[in-house]
Amino acid sequence: MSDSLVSVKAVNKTYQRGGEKLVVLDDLSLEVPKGDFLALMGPSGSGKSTLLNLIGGLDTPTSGSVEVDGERLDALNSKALSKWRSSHVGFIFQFYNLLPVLTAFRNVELPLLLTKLSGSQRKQHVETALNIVSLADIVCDEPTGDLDRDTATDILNLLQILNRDHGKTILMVTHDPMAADSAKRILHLDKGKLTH
Amino acid sequence: MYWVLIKASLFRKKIRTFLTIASISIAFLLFGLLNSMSAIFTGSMQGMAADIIMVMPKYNMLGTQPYSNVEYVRSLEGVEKVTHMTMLASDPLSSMFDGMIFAADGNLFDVYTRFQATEEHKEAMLQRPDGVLVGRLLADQKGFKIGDKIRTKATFKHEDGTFNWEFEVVGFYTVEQFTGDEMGIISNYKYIDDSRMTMKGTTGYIIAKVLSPELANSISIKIDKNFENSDRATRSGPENQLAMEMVGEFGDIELIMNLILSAVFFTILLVTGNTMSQAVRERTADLAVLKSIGYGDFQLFVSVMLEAFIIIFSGLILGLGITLLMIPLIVAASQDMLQDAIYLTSSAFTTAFLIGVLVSFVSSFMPARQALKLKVVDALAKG
Repeated sequence: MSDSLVSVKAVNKTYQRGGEKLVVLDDLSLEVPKGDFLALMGPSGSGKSTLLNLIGGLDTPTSGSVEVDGERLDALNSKALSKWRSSHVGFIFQFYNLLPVLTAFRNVELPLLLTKLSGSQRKQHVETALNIVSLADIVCDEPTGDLDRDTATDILNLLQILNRDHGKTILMVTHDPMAADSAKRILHLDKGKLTH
Repeated sequence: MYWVLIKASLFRKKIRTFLTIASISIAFLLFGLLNSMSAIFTGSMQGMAADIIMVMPKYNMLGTQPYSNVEYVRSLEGVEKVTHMTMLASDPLSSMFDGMIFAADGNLFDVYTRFQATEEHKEAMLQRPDGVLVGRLLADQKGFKIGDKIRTKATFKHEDGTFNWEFEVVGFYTVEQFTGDEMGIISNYKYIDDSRMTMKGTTGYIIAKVLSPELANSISIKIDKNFENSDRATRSGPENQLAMEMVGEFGDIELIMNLILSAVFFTILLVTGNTMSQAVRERTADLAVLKSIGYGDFQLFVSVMLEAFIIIFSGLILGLGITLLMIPLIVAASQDMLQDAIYLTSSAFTTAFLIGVLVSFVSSFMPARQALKLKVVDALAKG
């Protein structure tokens, strides 16, 4: 059995724009071992976010397979993917995307509402921020893109702690070389292919 | 789970939510008020009986017909009891009050049981030719008491050569339902007819109680047929039906009401539909995030539908609640004349509930579907 948490094999992702076929990921394969902290870099339109979306279960490939923690995501339907996301993956969005009228506590509690936890259990989880730590892996799309340097450093330190001390596998898309330096390894994408 | 999502949506734009609920509540207030007053508009007032036939002059409802018509109606098979009333048209500027004085036969209370008086007062009226019974509502308003004199200037002459008529209050009458009928005065027909110089031997309305409601129509037709094409042509029918026909002569009130209500609810539909579409459009990023963290398509579909239901039913409860509070105020403002004429029936509540469900469903279906079909990746890309 492979030690990889993420296994992407011969994945293609294409979009149809009018009469034009747009190839975003071109026969891409990637293995991410458990406990890895991987930074994906590349120019705009290179397919970084698309790859992240496939690994996070937000999208499905046109062809090829995406397996995360032994689950074939490309074979799951929309409902099963939603369920999988709720229990396996945490997202850090570039623009935070918090629900504005809810308190920070309620925002953190939102994913827990989908579980069978009681109100007091949810409260405990939120208070100890275990909802983040308990997830198997974390995907981040430009997590520092909209932050000042000091806050960005704090976030990157936090990601390193989650990876180092809690064994979380982290996949991060970034344009920022400083952010990429926080990762254990860096991969570059261009025109839908891994270059190195 | 749903409540957290719905609360987040409702409180996102508090003023818009408030204004939407306010417009819906006004629409339901209008619905409630129109419905509560429908008895007045449609003539279907409580207490109007199906076994009471009214016979009136065909071409002038305030006109007269020969007293012999009363005898004819009394002679018909299926007619149980007959009485009659004549209205004393009066000059309001020269009279003590602007209410109606009716000259009625002695058996009025026996035939027309909606009107009631104590035996003592009925007897007092029979004993005194110029004695009158005053409607309780009118007596309360004008402060009439037993022994008071009531003077009025009628349009027909008294035998003394003047138009002045004087009566003495000997008692009061009440009306079981629709207390607006308590705004009149009942006098002795025999005294009026004996004392007037003109129009002797005529009466206004003939009121007949038939043995069963099923006979009312056929007897009415028979009466009208009998006087057809004569100078005493009549218009007859069951009291409740005739009242509706007479209101209908002013126009199809029910149709007008339905048109108003349709316009109102079409407006609610547009207001709510627009609000929900706008709200879902504004929340595209939020919905995408919720889907990202595991909320299912159907869960978000239900959440948007429930949000519309909550908005519409808040407006419904508020609107009908205000209606219920306003009814006693309207009755009080009418000085109790509308006591039994305005009310909300259980069918009005049921109709409002069904309208609420229908409008909620129709107005939120497309926005909810939009949430259902939302592609996370596209929505996140748009920010």
